[in-house]
Amino acid sequence: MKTIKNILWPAFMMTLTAIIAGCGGSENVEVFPARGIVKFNGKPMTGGGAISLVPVVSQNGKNAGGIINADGTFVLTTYEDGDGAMPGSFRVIINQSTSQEPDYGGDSDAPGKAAVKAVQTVTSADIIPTIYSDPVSSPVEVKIEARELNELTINLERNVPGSFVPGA
Amino acid sequence: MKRIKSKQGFTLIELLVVIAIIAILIALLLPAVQQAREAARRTQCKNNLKQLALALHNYHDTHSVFPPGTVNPVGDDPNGRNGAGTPGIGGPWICFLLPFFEQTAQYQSYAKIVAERPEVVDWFGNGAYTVQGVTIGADPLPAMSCPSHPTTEERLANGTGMEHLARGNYAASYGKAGYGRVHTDNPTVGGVCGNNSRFSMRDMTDGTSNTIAISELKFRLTSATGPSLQDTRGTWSYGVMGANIFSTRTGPNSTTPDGVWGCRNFPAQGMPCVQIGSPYTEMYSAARSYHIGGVQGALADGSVRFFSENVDLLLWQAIGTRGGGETNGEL
Repeated sequence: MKTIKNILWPAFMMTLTAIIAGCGGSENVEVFPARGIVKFNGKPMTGGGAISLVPVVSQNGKNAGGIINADGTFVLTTYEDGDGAMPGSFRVIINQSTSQEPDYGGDSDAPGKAAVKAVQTVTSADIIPTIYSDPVSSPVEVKIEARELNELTINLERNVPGSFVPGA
Repeated sequence: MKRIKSKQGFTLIELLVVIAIIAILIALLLPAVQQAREAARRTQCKNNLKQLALALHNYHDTHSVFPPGTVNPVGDDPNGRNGAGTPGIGGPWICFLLPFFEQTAQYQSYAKIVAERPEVVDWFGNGAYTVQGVTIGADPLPAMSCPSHPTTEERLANGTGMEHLARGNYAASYGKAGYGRVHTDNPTVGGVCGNNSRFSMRDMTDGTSNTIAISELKFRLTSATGPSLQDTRGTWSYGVMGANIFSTRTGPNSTTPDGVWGCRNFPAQGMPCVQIGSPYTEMYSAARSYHIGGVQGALADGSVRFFSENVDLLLWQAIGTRGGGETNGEL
């Protein structure tokens, strides 16, 4: 009897170990909460848009992004909603949403109707220079640190050297 | 030493231990079956990518160039003309590849519409043609559908003439910048395809094995939020950013909202988005998939591989460009 037990118990324990060990090993990076506000000429950016981080130097790990609300505020997300960003230095890319497509419920075979047109939602004075949406030359950089909360204020200006300014 | 008093049979403890082990093994097996199914679907998805990559090469062999991302005689404007008879958006890259993966009938459908209508895509799937048996764009194309993606019966309808377009999952790379010609023409940011592009293998100065050509996209499942039917993302016959074109500007499965004209934000399905409209040059859309942890992509040399969503973003962007001059090191 003892010999069977001597084999069975170690086998049982090894199976258990294998199960527990097999559940680890995710390559996700550690992220830290980050939120903030985008300002254009000192006032919150209007219209809303998208913010994304691009590492300044090569860095493994998923990069954070977020939606900029109409009042300029944003919360960064990497894996789960609002979980933040991985630490490091990042170039900030900002895309402003300046027009909206109206909702269109129908589905019609009749061509020749006027096409649905975009609705301008931001006045030309409030449109940010396109250089801020350039993934290579955007001049804004932020540092995300391994701490409880990163509060970011991102200041955009109308007059950036070498940038096309719409509506100026 | 031989045991003399050995009785046949097991004790209760031994029996319990054996049952426990069997139970654990079954518990291990059950999720593994689901994993195996998904693994099979992923492999099929990968095979579709491989076929598209081969078709791309066959096209290149015949025409000495890769197909244009989209034929767009009116610049970067991706909107339809609502059948108004003025030149509009033409055929995307996939239409040019059709004869190269034995879809000649579909290609003839396409050629018929091109010959008769200047606002080509407006008429894809339209009843005026489907009654004649010209059904391009109306139905999902198996070669453009990834089995890992849930299905939908819904068609794209956005009020600009694109009223009947079926969904699809594969997209050509426009590089790491945006949709516009201004980015496509710049080899340090442009990709394998672009609006009205004619790039050949010798234009891939980064090397075909360091440049991505095709990857995956998600489309919206039926939902009132949005509404989903107006979201252009993941539409196989519509050559606009996010529909069958992607950009490596944001990483695989990025949480940065896609900047696409005519999309509806839906983070619940992993499809965040903001509408970026006129000028259309800056539109971008990330590669996305239902595979766990990343997307699959076909490189310009025809090889297909998996890209983790934790890939270094600068590396992913470098893979997108055809002439960025980056050293890609460890892929």
